[in-house]
Amino acid sequence: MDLIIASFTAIVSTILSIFVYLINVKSATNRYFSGFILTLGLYSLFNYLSSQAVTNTEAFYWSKFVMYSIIPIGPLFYFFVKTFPEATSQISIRIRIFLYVFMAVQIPLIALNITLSSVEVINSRLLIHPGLGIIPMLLMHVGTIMTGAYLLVKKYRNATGLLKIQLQYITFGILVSLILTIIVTAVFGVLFNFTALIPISPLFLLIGAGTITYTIARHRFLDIRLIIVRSLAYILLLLFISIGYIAILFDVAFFFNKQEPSWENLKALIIPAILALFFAVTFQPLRRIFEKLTDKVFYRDNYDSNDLLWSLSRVMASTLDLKELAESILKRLMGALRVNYGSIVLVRDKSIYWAQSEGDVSHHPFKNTDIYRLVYDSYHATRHKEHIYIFEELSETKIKKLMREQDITIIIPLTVRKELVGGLLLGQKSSGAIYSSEDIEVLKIVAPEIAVAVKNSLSYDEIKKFNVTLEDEVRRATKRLRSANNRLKELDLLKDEFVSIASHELRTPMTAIKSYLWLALHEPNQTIKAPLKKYLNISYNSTERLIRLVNDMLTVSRIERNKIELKLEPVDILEVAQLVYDELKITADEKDIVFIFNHPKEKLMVNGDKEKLREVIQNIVGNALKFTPEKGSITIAAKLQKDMISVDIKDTASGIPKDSIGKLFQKFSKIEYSYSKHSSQPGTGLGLYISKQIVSLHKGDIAVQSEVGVGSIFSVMLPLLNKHKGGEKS
Amino acid sequence: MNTKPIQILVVEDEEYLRDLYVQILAQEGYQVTSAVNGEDAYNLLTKNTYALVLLDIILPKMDGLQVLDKLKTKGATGNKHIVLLSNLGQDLVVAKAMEFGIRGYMVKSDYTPDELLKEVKGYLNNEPVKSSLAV
Repeated sequence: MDLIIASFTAIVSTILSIFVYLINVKSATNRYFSGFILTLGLYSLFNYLSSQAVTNTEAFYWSKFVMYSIIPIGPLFYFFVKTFPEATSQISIRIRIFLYVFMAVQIPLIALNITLSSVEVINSRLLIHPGLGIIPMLLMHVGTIMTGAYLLVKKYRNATGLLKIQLQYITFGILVSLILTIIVTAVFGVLFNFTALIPISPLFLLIGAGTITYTIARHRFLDIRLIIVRSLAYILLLLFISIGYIAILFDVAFFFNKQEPSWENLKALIIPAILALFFAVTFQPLRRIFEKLTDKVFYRDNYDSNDLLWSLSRVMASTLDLKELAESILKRLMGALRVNYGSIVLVRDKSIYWAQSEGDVSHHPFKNTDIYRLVYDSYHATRHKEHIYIFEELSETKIKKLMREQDITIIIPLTVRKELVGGLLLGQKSSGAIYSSEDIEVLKIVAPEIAVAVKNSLSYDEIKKFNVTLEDEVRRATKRLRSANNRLKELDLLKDEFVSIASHELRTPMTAIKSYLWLALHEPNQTIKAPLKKYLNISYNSTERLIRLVNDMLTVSRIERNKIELKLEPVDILEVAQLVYDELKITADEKDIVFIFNHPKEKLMVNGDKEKLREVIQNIVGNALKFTPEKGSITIAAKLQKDMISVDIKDTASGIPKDSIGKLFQKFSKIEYSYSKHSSQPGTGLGLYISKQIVSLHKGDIAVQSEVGVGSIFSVMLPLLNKHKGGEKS
Repeated sequence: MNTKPIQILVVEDEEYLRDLYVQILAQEGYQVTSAVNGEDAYNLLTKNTYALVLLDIILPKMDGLQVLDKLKTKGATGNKHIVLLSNLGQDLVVAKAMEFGIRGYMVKSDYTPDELLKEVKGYLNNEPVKSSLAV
C-alpha cells in the first residue's frame, strides 16, 4: 500500500511537473510550480525509501535524502505564489539571494549530520533524532510557507472570476497538504519522534496533487486544457478493456493448462472470441459513453454543438439589421457556452467604430484602442496559426496582459476575404469553467459565418444609410420645390390681384370717357357738326375697343389659370346660333351682306355653357362680318356629323394664307392680311384664342378652311349630348 | 311722379362717374342720394330706405363687400334692393357678392348711360324694393 501511494504520488507529480513546465516555459509561475511539484514527488519517493529501510544506516541515508528534497519546498511555494498569476518574476533580488543562500546552507548542514543526528529503525518504524540544523530548516519552511499562504489568501480575496476559483482550489490543496505533511513529518516525526503517521504522509501530498489536478482539468490552471480530462477517459477505458481481456486470458490459460483438447474445449474457445469481438465492436460506443461521462463530470454546461451551429446559421440568415444580428448571435452563443459577456466589435480606420455587447458589460468600454489592438493582433499576429486568442493558452506577452486588463478570455477576428472586419470577444464562462475544445471548435466554425453575415449587414446598413441620405436629399428638394411652388402661388395670386386691380383701374377712366362721349354724342338738344361727330365716334369706338381688350385680357387670364368655370347644361346650339344671327343681322344688313342661317329642323343638343358658347359664335360671326366686304355673304350652317355637331361660318372675305392659319388662334395674333386696315372695328387679337380655349373646355375644336381670294369656313365642333342622359329637350 | 319720388342711393368714389350716375338718374326723376365711401354708404343705408342702391365695390374706408357683410351682421333681412355696380369683373368677386343675396351685378364699363338707365328701370319695375333693414 505504501508503495502504491508513494509511486502514484511520484509519478503524478513528475508528469504534472513536466507538463506544467512544457506548457509555458517562459512563465516563471510555471517554472516554480513545476519545481514545486517535482520536489513533492521526490520527497514522497525518498520518504517511501526511508520507510522501507531495514538497517539504521540505510534509514539514515534515505532520511537525509528526504531532507535534501524538502529544502526547496517552502521557497518554491513562496516563489510560485508570488508570481502567480502574472507569470513574471516580481520577487526582489535580495529576497531571492537570501533564500538561495539559506537553501544552500541547508545542504552542508544535512551532509554534516547537523540537521539529522541519527535515525533508528525500531519495529520497522523510524526513530528520528534531529540535530540543531533542523531549526533553520523549520524556520525557513514555516517562514516561506506562511508568507506564501498569506499572499495566496490575499490574492484570493482580491481575485475575480476564473482566477479566484483557481486560487481557491490551489490554496486549499496546497495548504492542506503542506500543513498536514509538515505536522506529520516535521512536528510529530522529527520533533516528537512520533513516526507512526509518516508512511501516510504522501497521501496528504496526494490531496494537494489531486486538487491541483482538478484545478488544471476543471479550471484550466496553468493552461493545461483537455489533456487530463481525455487521459482520464482513456485510462478508464483502458482499465475496462484490460479487465475484460485479462479475464479472457485467464480463461484461455485455464483452458490450455487444465483441459484436454475436445469439442467442449473448442466451444470454450468460441466464447472468448465472441467476447473479444463484442469488446471490439463496443469499443467506440463505450468510448463515447465514457467521454460523455467525463464531460458530464468536468463540463456540466453541455450543449449540442450542431443545434447551436444550426440556430446561429438560422439567425444569420434571418436578419440584415446589424444590431439585431449581433444581438441574436451573441445571445445564442452566450446562452450555449454560458459566457458572462460577449461583444461583437467592428473595426475601420484603425479603430473600433461599432460595438454590440451582451451580458455583464457595464465595465467594458469595448471601443477603446486596446481592444482594437487585440482584435488587430488576433488576426495579424496569428496569421499562420489559427486565428484565435485564448487567454489561458497565450504566453505572457503584452497581449495576455491586455486581455487580463480587459477581462477578455477569447478573441476571434472576423475576416471576410482576408480583410479584417471586426472581432468576436468573449468573457469567462460564468461557471468559471474553461472553454472546452468543442467550444473552441464551434467558435472557429461560426467566426467566418459571423464575419460574412456582419459584412452583409454592413453593406445593407450602408445602403440603408445611403437611402436615408437620399430620402433627406429628396425631402430637401421637395421642400425647395414646395417653397418655390408656394412662391409661384404667391406670385400667381399677386398676378391675379394685379390683373384684377389693373383691369379695374383701367376700366374706371374708360367708363367715364365712354359714358361722357356717349352723352356728348346723344345730347338731345344739340346738333353736332359732322366732323366733330365723326371724331367723337372714333373716340367712342376706340374706348369701346379698349374696354373689350381689358375684358378679353381678364378672360385670358382666367382661362390660363383654369379659373374659368363652365355652367354646363343641355344647350341647343341652334338656339345659340339663332341668337347670334338675330343680334348681328342688323350689322350685316347695314353692310349689305347676305346673311344666311341654315339649320336642320331637329335640335342639336350639347352639354355646354350657353353664354360662353354664344360668345364663341358671336366672336367668329363678328369676325366674318368685320372682314367680309360689302355685298359679300356669310352663311351659318349647323349639321351633325356622327357624334359631333359642327357649326360652320362661311364668309366671302379675302381668305387666309395657309401658313397664317396656325397663327390665328395665338394670343394677339394679327395676321398680315388682316382687315384691320379695312375694318372700322379692329379686334383685340384675343377673340379667337379665347374662343378656341372655350371650345376646348367643351371637348370640342375649331377648324379653319380657307382659300385666299375666295373666303374662309370656321367650323365650331362640339360633341353631341348623349340623348339617354336626358339632354335633349322634347 | 306726383307721388313720393323713388329713392336711389349711388355709392361711388369716382367723382366723374358719381356725377354721371346722379345726373342721368336725376334726369329720369329719381331722388338720388350719393355716398363717396363705404362708411357713409353704410350709415345712409342704416338710416334711410332706398328703392335701389347702386353700390361700388372698391371704395375708401370700407369696400362694398364689407358694407354688405356689415349689413348682414347688423341683422338686415335681405339685400334685394342692392345692385353692385363695379369695374371688378372676376368670377370670384361676383360669386362672393352674390352670396350676400344682392339683386344684381353690373360691370360699369359694359354699359352706356342709356343701357344703365334701362337696367335700373328693369330692377325697379320688376320688384319695387323696400328697405329690408330693421333699424
